Amino acid sequence: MKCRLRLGSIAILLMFPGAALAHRLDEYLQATRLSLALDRLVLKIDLTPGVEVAPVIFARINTNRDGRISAAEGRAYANQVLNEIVIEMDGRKPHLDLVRSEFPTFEEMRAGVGTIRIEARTTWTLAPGTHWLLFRNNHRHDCGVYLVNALVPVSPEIEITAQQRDPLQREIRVGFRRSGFCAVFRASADRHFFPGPFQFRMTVIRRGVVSSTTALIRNRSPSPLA
Amino acid sequence: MKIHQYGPLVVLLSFPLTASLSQGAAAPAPGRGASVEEATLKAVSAAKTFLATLDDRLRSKVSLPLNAKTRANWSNLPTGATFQSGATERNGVKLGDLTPVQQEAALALVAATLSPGGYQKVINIVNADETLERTSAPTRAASSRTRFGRAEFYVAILGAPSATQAWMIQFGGHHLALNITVVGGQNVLTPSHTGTQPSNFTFDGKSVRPLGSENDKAFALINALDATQRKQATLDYQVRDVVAGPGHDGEVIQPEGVRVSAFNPAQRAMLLDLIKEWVGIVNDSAAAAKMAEIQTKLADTYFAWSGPTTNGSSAYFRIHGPTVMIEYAPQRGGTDHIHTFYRDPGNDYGAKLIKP
Repeated sequence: MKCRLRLGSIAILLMFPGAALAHRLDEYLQATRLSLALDRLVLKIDLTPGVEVAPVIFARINTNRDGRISAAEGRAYANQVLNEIVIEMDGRKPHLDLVRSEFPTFEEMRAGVGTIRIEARTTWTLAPGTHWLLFRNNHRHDCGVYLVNALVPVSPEIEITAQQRDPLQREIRVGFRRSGFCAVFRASADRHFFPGPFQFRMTVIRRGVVSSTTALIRNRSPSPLA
Repeated sequence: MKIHQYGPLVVLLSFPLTASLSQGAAAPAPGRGASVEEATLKAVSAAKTFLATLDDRLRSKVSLPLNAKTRANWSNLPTGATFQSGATERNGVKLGDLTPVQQEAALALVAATLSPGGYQKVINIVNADETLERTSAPTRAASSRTRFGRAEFYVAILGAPSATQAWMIQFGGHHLALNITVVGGQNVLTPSHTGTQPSNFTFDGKSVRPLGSENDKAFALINALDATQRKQATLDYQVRDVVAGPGHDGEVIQPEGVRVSAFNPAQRAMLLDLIKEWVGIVNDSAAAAKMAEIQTKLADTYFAWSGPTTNGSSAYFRIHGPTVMIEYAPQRGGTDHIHTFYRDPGNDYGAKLIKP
């Protein structure tokens, strides 16, 4: 077993041997979905400790040791998880804000069926062109097993062009592109976001050559994943 | 990672529901040769028959409104857990709270909506969970709320059974969630979950592998691909669980793997045969319609694989197309505990058929 157990945790485990029959044992499953939107990135993270690591994780969250996870304890743990997640967008590191967190009971965690749910987001204004996003989860890599996936964006303006993961799925690099067509019309009232090349794109679009516009934007910011 | 090892399975002695469940394969199903409309009429009739066996209290528990909240209450988890929907109990009533006559009527309703093979698969999953209950109960803490076994499978009817209006049948427990949306003549099985633990056991003197065909057909397919196709299909990272389980309605991940447009006719036939293990759970006429739909978009479907390609190994696979998403995920790197999920990215709960 990878996660370190304290003596007290082992004692708890020995008290409930039946729990070990059904689900996760010494793994801490950490599943993340990345949702890319025009104005934000949303992360939904599901954390499911196995039967044998649940006492360790619970003890880490339940800092006052009263057997229940208070709202403050939950927020503190969720923020710790977020602090151990690396996000880079085109080389910049945006700040992740905790949106919500939900915690199961200790009994559910002890049975291997309790999932901690964390939602976080960062806001951005996604410029037309190609981009790349790096996500890396450094939380409890001593016992963590990982899933990370990018969802198909709701906005038709965003297209995911590449996904590269490490063998353990702790890290993913997502290449994606925002098409310029709708963005240009949206940006017409806010031109300071689009210096120089924007004027050229407008000209091209007026001539009805939308595909050429997209090609121009691609060339401005080549994807490192290409 | 450590894989839990079971001791010898407890000898299965007295199973109160054995008779009715074992007879499942012989239960009348509407599928073969029946039209879609006939399948709906049989489901409506079976639902009304079941409801007629219940008193007012049980009927009010079984019959629930059909809405976004009620339909999303399903799970792979056993009784005693808080489900992904936030609920602490499945919809409806559990078999353990029904009389033998009521149980018979409940299972007849399930059988009426499924193919004979699909119903047998469901019964095999139920029997696997009963085996798990017999194995785990002796060492379970008295305070534990976790329960497995046949008695913990729930049946619910969302909306009013109707040949014209939308309604749903839910039947599920640990490792099983059937969500069958009926809209006029259409029967939609997505989203649904099948799973098993143990994956290979003896019941009534017969060896049972509830998801054995899924496993064997998938390994046959990956080994039928040429080197280039297999390289494209193989994900270069481990996948230790499903992505699109309960609680993930409406989430569609980016497709990965090899595109089926690169498959030859024999490989396409193998893939369709594999897909039918899930699609074919529902009655034959509804399954045929769904298979035809999948076939029209087969070229845009992807097949992805993670893990060894020798049958008997622990490997994850995914089939992902415009109208189908199937995941098969062995748990904890072993082969004795399997989760699978079957979705339609655009038509879960019959979304295309139900006007908001």
